[in-house]
Amino acid sequence: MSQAEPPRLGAWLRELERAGVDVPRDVVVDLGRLLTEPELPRSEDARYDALLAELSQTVGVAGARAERLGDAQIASIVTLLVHGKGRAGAGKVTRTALAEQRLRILARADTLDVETLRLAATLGDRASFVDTLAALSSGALRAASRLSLSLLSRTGDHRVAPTARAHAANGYSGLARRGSIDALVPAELAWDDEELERRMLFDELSFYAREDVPEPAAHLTHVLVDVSASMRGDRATFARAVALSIGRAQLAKGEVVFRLFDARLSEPLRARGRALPVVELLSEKGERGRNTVRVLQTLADELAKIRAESGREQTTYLLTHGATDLPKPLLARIRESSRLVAILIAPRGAALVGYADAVDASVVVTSDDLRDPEAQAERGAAVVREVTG
Amino acid sequence: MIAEIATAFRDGDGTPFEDLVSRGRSAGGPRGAAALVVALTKPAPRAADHKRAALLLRDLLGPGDAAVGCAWFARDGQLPRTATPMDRARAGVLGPDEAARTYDAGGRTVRAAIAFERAGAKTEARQRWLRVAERADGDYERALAFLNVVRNAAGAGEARDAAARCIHAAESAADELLRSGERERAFDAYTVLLTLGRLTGVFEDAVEGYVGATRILQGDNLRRHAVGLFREAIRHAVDAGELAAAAVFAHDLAAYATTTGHTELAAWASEREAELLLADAERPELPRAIAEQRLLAAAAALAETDAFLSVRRVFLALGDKASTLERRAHFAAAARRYQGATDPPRRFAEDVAPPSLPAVWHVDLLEWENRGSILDATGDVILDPDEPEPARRHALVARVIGAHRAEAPELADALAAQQLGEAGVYGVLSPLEHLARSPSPETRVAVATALGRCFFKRSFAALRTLSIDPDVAVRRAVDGAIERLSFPHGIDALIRFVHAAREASTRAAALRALAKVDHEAATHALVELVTAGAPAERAAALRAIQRELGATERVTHAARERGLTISWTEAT
Repeated sequence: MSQAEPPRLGAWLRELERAGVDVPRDVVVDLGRLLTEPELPRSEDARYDALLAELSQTVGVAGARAERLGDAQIASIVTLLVHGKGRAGAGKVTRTALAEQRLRILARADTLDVETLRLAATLGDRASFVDTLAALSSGALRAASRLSLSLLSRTGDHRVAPTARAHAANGYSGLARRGSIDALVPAELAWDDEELERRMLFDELSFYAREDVPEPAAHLTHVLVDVSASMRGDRATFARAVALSIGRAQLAKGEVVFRLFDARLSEPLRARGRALPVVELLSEKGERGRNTVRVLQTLADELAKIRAESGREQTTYLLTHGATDLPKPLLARIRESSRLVAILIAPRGAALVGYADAVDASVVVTSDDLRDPEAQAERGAAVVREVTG
Repeated sequence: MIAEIATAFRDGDGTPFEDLVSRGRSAGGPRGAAALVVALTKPAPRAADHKRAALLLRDLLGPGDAAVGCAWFARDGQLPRTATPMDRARAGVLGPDEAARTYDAGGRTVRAAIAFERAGAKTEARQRWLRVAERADGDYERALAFLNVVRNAAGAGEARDAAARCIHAAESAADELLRSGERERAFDAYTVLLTLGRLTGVFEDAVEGYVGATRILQGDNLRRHAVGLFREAIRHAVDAGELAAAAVFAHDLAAYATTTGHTELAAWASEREAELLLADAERPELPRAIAEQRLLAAAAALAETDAFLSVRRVFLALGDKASTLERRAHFAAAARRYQGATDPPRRFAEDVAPPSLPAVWHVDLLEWENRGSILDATGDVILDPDEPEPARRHALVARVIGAHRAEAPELADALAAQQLGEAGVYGVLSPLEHLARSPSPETRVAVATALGRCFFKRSFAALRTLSIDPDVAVRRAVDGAIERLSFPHGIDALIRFVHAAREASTRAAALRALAKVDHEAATHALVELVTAGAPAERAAALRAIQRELGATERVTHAARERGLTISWTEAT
């Protein structure tokens, strides 16, 4: 008995065509169905059907199915399963050819980053094919996302929400998505640790909202993250994780904008309501050269413009490695418009240049801090607490 | 003298070397000298014959730069009595300290600094480099000067400030040079960063340099150099204890090898990536979350090489170490899938040496100080024992002409440009670029033709400027030069000419050059043009391909691999 084509097939095929990825229609049908429906697809090739059955049970495919992913994300996973991480599969893609590569396909599914899939799923269709593919292809993202969850739980970032939402009940003004730990709805504590951390990160916990707090003046936080090649290794992982945590902590004050930089300052990645641009922040590879002077000049100009036009209070967090001396005149220009906090991840074997007097606050994270097992997350949490106040 | 040389070139065309030498000896005076000048441009039975001709020429010439050049070429230590202290210093007959002070007195700060380095006088050298840094008019030269300050620093404190300034300048230079298409010079800027990083032990700077430099080599289709530099980057990262960064380099090498069709190298690099990730995951100080990520990434890399026994071992390790019970159970179940699997034989890849990087921190600053001077540039070529002998000879001839320039500047410039082109080495590019600004169309024609003999990406930059010259003869000379510059690392520049040159004849010349290059990147560019270009572009590309032996087969084969067909009749 033939199965009807999945209703979202057209969207998946369009994503693949737009990205220039070659996967035959029948394979897209099968893998797309596997990722979205409980029923196993069937073909006339027994070996291929056996592969699909095994795939269905892998961490990656089972995890993806549970997340209700967008079309772009489904298409990116199909690409990864068929073609691997950034490397073209050899030869024509057919059901028979895939069955012959059974172990390779299974390994791709087994090493799929489920945690990043969960992050992507929270953004639904807003995570693009390219972003999701880059995110899933990069092993470093998972480390960054795990570390950010860990940091968040240690920073204890629960601030009173500016206003209450929803309905009045029993002396409380209602329920809210943010609050202090003592206002947590008790049922939320039933989640296991990992799920609880994830829900904290994405504002999926419920709190009792106790009072109306007057709306503070709109504050603008800029979180700048160095994504140049000089950050390769654990530096990049740590910097992105800390950036997410700082952004999360600063949402209570107002607007948060992330800017990545290498030879240029990227377009702003804005938090959408309470949702941080996690996948975009973690998937952008960067490494297009480095031009610190130009980046700081551009930043200084933009901050001055914002200050002149809106008078908003601004804080800028600059996360980079500490091997380069940041030019003090440019730091001074930035401070004319914004509070400036430098978080410097120390290089191996080189003394840092002291420009603590050129910024409002600075934290130096040394190689020893990065190496210490328990202290890495603790250290990161301390960094976040120290610089966000 | 210039008029005699021009006449001698015209009359001596086809005259063998020995006849010209005899004519030179018997005629004497300017006519004799001119005959010897032309003789030096001809092949001779032995190298000693050219030396003999140069010494005869020295004796016929009066005191001055030309005679000194002859003595330098002959290397017999017999400089004319009228040779200046600077001439002696350049010939190496003075000790380094005396040479340094001579250059200093002559205002040649770069040469003085280099000589002080050779004399072991680091403090004096450093002071001169600081002076150069102050006077430098571009970020690239500033970066080089500060690198030299670091190289001659007395201690870490002194080096730190200079290193910071070097990095800012080098980063900025690389960025701007890439934007303006000067990829060779951008590569040199990245080598400044990686050299500085290796010197100071600051891994971040070295890695930025390695990434930028390998990217340029990849883009320029210099595969062997790219692979060699990748491997050096991996070794450097491992030596620095940066295993995760080393794994990223291995991953990049695997991806590059895959795109260039070198599957064995890709598999070797993936194996290396996995080894590095597994080693990094073993670090006791690594947080569990990151260790787990390393293991997963290693499994993914191993899977791409079909090493499924190793994949199983990694999943078994994850079954023990993963962060939650659920995940441990998943990985244990995954490991069972690979029961009975084997690993392929371990791959070996030929150890490709990294490209030998020139000491640009001296060479390019010397060029900067020379300011396009023919006398200085040709002197450097003549005195360099590593330059090929024909290049030194033609440089000598250019120098003799340049030394008499005042007699007939436009004619001298055109003749000198011609000889610089015959030399064809990197050191002649700067004077050619300087001559390209000549008000004389004849000189600019000679420069364009000469650039067509200098097989460097940098040649394209000057040709780009000359391609919009108001004089049609210059523009036609540019076309001829572009058609000659058909080499793999010029493909990118040729493609830019195809798309952006103002004149159809220039675009056609670039197409013909592309058709001559037997390289995948050139072939793919041509396939794009003949299948997806505008009608006029397609027709021009088809004509260029059909003119070139072997190109039709290459392009047809490449198109077929992509499922495309070509209509060859569109060429007419």
